[in-house]
Amino acid sequence: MTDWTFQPGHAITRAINRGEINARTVTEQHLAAITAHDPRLNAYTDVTADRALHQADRIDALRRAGQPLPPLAGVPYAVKNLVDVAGLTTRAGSKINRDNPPASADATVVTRLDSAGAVLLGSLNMGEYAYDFTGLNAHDGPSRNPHDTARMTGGSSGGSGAAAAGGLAALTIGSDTNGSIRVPASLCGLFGLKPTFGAVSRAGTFPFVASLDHIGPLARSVEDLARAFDAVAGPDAADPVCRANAPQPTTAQLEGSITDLRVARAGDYFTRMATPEALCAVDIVARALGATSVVSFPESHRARAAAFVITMTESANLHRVRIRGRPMDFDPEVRDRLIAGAMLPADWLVQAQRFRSWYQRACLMLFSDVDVILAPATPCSAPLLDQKTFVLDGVELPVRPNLGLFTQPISFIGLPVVTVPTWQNGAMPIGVQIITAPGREAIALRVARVLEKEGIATVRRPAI
Amino acid sequence: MTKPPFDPAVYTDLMASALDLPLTDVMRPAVIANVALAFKLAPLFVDFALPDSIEPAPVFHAGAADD
Repeated sequence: MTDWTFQPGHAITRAINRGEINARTVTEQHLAAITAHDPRLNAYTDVTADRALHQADRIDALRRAGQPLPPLAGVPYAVKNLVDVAGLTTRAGSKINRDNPPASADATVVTRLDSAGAVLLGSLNMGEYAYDFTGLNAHDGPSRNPHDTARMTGGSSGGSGAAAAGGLAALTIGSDTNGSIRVPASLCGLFGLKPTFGAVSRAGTFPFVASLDHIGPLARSVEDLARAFDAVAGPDAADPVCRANAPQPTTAQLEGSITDLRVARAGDYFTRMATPEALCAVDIVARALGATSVVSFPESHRARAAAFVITMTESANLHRVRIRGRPMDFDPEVRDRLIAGAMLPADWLVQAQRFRSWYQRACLMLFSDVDVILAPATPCSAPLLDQKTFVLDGVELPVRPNLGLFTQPISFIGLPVVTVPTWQNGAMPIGVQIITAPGREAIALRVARVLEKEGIATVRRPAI
Repeated sequence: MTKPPFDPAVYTDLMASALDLPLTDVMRPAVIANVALAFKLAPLFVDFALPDSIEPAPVFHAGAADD
């Protein structure tokens, strides 16, 4: 029998449509893979087997009845455990939130994926309260990189990276405040989409930094990202920052030409702190796309600093009662950042948000001359699980806050990004950010699809 | 008179007391380190001159009467 656990979601849907396989078998294979491999990867915190099988049976019944199947029919997916799933407690990677009652309803993103026929397998491990770039978790243990289980997945959507890369779901949902989709996509060798700020509803997800939070997919194929984005994007009155207009569907544009696109590399800040492997990854992609020009996101080091301080202060406010009431129940590394964040001057927060306005205007001007900008996703490939520091530009720095050096200035102004995986010397993968203007997800996905077709950006099956 | 250098430990202790924040001996070194890091980063954008016309990024909408 065909093993469907490493097939892309769109291939699964196609096969179900043709009657080559049924959704129940695909679901059962994934549940069996979770049982077999999750003890080593630690991607899942909850498995919703009954719900998954029920959803799969519904898809199979539709097909038997000769009804048209929805676009993600039978695609097995899982969500970061800050996403509400009816009947599960939304732990958001924490110990404290486990005392909350189970969610009474699904998050908007789950409702929309369900409507599109996807099959929910469960909820995924993550860094506590999403304040993390490593995929480590003090309460649930680390999610482990399927390509080397001694290494980090990246975070905070660590389980989302491990599950998709390990064949334990075809599609996973993560959140990205400063890089938490793009960092695990880079370290786990996946495609990841951080949409335009406000393109995908956050309703029914546990927040981290309301000014900066995004929801988006990770997958092993570009088409799966596009299909997932088309299914979940669009207005939602329940999320105050959700854009009022539905974005253009991306799947139908996926195979379009990119010869008319102007592609450049990001210079300055985005080259200074990168290791040779990160720069080589950008070289590989730039060469394939014929990108020779270099543009500069102005003052990106200041943007990163402003995003850092907004993150510290807004998250400290969100957790102000929990910090005072249950400090010893936090992951110490999260708690100590939150306490420090509670001490920072209000003037800094307002100035950081004013700088954000300035930086947005300056960066958007770049897109009058280029359509696509390339930058490293992470400064290096996956560090070891117990690695505390690395050396960037000759300076020893802590790993945890600095894995997102290159993602933070981009999400700061909500630009859409597709991360594509590259490989060098057969070692660990490392991603490249394909950055476009707001609302131009279709362009970033088209570029990623070309790189995928040409074998420049590839996903590899790990030896688990 | 020379201004004394900023001491993140003094600042941390004062703010913890003023804001009723927990600060045990176990937490204190890491909290001080995080405060020091914030004070190292903040001047990058605080000292960057902005025109008075630049407003903070989040925009409040009052809504409509029939909302």
